[in-house]
Amino acid sequence: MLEMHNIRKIYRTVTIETHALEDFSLVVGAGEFVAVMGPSGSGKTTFLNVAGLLDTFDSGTYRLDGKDVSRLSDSEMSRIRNRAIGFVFQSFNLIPDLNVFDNVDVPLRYRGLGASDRKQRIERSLDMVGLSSRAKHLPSQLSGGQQQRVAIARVLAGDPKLILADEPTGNLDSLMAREIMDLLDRINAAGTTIVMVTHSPECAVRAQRQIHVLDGKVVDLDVPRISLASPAGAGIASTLR
Amino acid sequence: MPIGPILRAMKHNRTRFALIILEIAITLAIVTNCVNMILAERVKMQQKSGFDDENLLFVIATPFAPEFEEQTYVEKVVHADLRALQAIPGVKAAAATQMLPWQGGGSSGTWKTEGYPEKFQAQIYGTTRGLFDVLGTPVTQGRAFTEHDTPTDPDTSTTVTIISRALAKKVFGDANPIGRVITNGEGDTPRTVIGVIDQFYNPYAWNIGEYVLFTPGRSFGSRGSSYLVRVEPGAMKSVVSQLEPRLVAVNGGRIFRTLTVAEVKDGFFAGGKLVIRAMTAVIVVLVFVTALGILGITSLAVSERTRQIGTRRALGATKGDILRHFLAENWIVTTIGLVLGVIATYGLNYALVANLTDQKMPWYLVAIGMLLLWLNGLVATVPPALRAARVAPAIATRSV
Amino acid sequence: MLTYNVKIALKSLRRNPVLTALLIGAIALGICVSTTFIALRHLFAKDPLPEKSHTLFYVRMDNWDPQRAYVAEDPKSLPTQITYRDAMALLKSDIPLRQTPSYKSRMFVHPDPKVGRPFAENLRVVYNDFFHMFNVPFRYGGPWDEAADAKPEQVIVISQPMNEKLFGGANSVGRSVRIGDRNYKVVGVLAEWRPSVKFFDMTQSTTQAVEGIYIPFNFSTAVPLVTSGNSDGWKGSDGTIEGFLASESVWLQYWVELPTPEKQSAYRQFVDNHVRDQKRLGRFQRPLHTAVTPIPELMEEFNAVPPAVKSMSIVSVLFLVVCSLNLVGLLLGKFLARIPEVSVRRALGASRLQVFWQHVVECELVGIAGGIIGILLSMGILRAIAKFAHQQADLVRLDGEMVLVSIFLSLVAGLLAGIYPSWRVCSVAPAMQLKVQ
Repeated sequence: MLEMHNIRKIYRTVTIETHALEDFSLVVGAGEFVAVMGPSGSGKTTFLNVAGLLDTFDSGTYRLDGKDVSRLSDSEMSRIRNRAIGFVFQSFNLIPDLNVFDNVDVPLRYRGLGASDRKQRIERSLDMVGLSSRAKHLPSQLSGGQQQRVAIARVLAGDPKLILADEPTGNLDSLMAREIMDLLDRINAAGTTIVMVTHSPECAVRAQRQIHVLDGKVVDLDVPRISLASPAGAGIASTLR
Repeated sequence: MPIGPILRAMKHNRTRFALIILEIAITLAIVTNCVNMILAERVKMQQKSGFDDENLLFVIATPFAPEFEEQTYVEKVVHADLRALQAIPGVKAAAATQMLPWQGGGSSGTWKTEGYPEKFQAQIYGTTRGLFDVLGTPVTQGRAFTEHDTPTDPDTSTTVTIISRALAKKVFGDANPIGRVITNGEGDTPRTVIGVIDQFYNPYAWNIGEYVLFTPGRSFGSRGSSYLVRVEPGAMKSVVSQLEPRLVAVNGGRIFRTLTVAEVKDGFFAGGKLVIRAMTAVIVVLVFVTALGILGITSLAVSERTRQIGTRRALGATKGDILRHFLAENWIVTTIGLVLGVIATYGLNYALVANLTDQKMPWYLVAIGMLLLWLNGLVATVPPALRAARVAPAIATRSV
Repeated sequence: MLTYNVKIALKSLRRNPVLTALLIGAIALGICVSTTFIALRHLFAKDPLPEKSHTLFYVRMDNWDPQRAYVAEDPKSLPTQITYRDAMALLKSDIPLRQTPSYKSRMFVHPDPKVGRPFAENLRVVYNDFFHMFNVPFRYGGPWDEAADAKPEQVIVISQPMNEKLFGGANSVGRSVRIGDRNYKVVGVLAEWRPSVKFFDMTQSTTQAVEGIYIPFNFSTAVPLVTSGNSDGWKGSDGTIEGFLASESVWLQYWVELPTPEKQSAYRQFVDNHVRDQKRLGRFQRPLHTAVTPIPELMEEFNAVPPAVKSMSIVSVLFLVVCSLNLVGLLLGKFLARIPEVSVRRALGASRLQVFWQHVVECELVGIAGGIIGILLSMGILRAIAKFAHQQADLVRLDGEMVLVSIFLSLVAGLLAGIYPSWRVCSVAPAMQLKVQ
């Protein structure tokens, strides 16, 4: 599903270059649920931006669902984001001016679907997250967990092949977080590939595989316990605690 | 572009859009009404006198010497003056008359004629024979004045008149005006129409600018005489410099005042020109201010919604989608503003017409104004909308 | 608290100089345009004689052609002036405290040959009441007395510019001036007198300068003098001076001073009765219609304010509204962007009202700065207009009253534009951390 080889991403300002990703390689198979972990500044978010075609990279190759997406125009990237990828953000990123129904509608609109098709998809996905009765509510009228469920409904309505989740439970209390993780589990069980960036070990263990990122690279943690004890793993260790 | 969600989203930014709507509405009302006033002034200014305005000058001779009490002496001086004026190189023709084109008035009276039911008003000027050569409006029907038309006794009133085509049309319709008789309001001093000139316009208070009677001779007396002079194109300067010495040579017991008709016309239109300038300035500044306002308010909206735009981009919106979103928003707001503006336009026009003597608002002005403001809104929205389109989708993942 | 608010406001304004410039520019433009046109209107519309304008009245009566109104399209129209016959009849009334007929004439003045060549000058022909009624200011001497009117005596009052021209500005009372073929004794010299509207004779251009020489009315038939102002007639006369004076031609303005309401109604009765008497003699064949009009109404009727100036002043106020709307939008954006900061201030104990005032003060600072710039711009524009119009250049300017009005306008604009954004920002809930979205 997702194949990244030797990806390099450098942020440049006038005075400094920051190597956000350096020789970053990762393969995620179809139907996998992968958790990406790492301390702040390790390059997780950059990885997510690149994986989600939110940002370009400087060198390396990236194949998404078998298709090379390394050098695409902005509108081609928009199209893939819209059809193949679904995003779940830490801060939900619902559009505050739109009600729940219209929020779920946003990506479908950009896809140019017909009215009845959209309505059907929206209602089905809201039903799946259990928020059918809240369709007319504004985001500000919902709890954090509910908002995140709306964001997930927004993903589901689009039927993506790949879901990228960025700390989906970061702004939620543990009860709500569990609910969201259950939801993601169910979605994954239905066949959708999920790549989730997270700090939280409880969340990470729900995934089938954990990837660790450090200094812009995937670090091989075949023997995680050793790594935890080593000074290099101190950052991760502290995160885990 | 889907209008429904845009409209629903706009409800949450009511104030901002209400401001733009009001601004556009008032701007439309002001712009169209100002243009209307400008057009009204321009119509007045474009009125042609029918004369060779650029090459005409007017000399007023006011005597203080006692010999001018004697009418026969005055007459002698007038004839000597006319000869002296015509002798100046560059002078085409000269006549003694009190008609000064474009002074915004003159002399007029109330008249009657058989066959026209009401009394009517028209300007009246006495003149020596050369006037129609001076004005450049030949007598096209009937005949010009001859020396026999001037009564020998200065106290007798004249018996013939030459009138303008517009007056002939007004009181005689299509019938032949030659030989018809015009009297004063009480039916006295009958004058027979002997000729018609085609072109005449001299602005006057009661809308009688095109109506005139000319009578032969004697528009002068002890209070002075005045002359209308036509010069060759380009000769104005040299003629003006020679006027006074030549007239002083005839009789120095007078003071002279020389005006070119071009100056008089300028003075007559000075107020109108000022109005046009002021209105134009107001329109330009206002349209600019409104554009800046839309630009400013939309820019703020864009920076406030940066994250939202990033999210939309992350969800698959192309740059074009974002651009279209803001343009559609602007289109809706501008359209509402313009519809309200039409109401405001007619309201303001009504207020101005009720108070003042302005003209009604023609519909096409409103249409043009709407188009202009619509484009103005578009132009003002494009820069911030482009900035919005450039928002990176990665903004969406930036942690709080 | 105010100084603290001013300090915070200044800091906030300095933080984003471009936005601040836009804010101040918006107010300045609005104030500049509205001040300019309101000042122009004020110039024409202001009461020339506030202390007396409601006791001075202008008399008119409809003596026009029975078949045709004075303005043909308006049967209710009144001739703008009255006839000599009627003026003489009105003079017999003892109801008015003061009264005078008045007209403009033109004669040659022959100065001392050392001073210059003869020149033509405008005269105003009046009774001595004219000077008292209109509070005409004197530099030297004063009006002629009753006896000079009755006799009449060969006396004149001259204006300050005329005194400059003839006597180099010296006290010329008692000196003599040759006008036409007679010598007149100067009894008074006016101080500077430049009403912005020539309200005592609005039958011709109301922006003309006042006349240079004033001469007793009763003397005018002896000279004889004729009007150089407007003279309208509907019935011919025999062309002699006597015939003209007896004719239906209207050429005299007529002013009366009626200090009390009783006198006013009594005088209106008197004028009506005069017309009724004349109707019996066969004159005044149109329906009875007279008017005894105070100065403010008269200025309205004679369109003392040019219609274009009136329109422009309405338009300019709307212009200010547009500028204020812009200001609201910009302030709203500016203040809302500051919500995180405000929520912390609120958490630290600032009350809603304090936050509100802090922001209103900021708006008012913008208002004052914009107002000052606007007023300065407007002064420049008025100077340019005066130059362009070649008229009364020294009159087209902002007087103290107008400066106060503009400052008031800019404060109101700042306040009105600032209230809503300030209210929005002060209703923010307190929070302990800065939070985006």
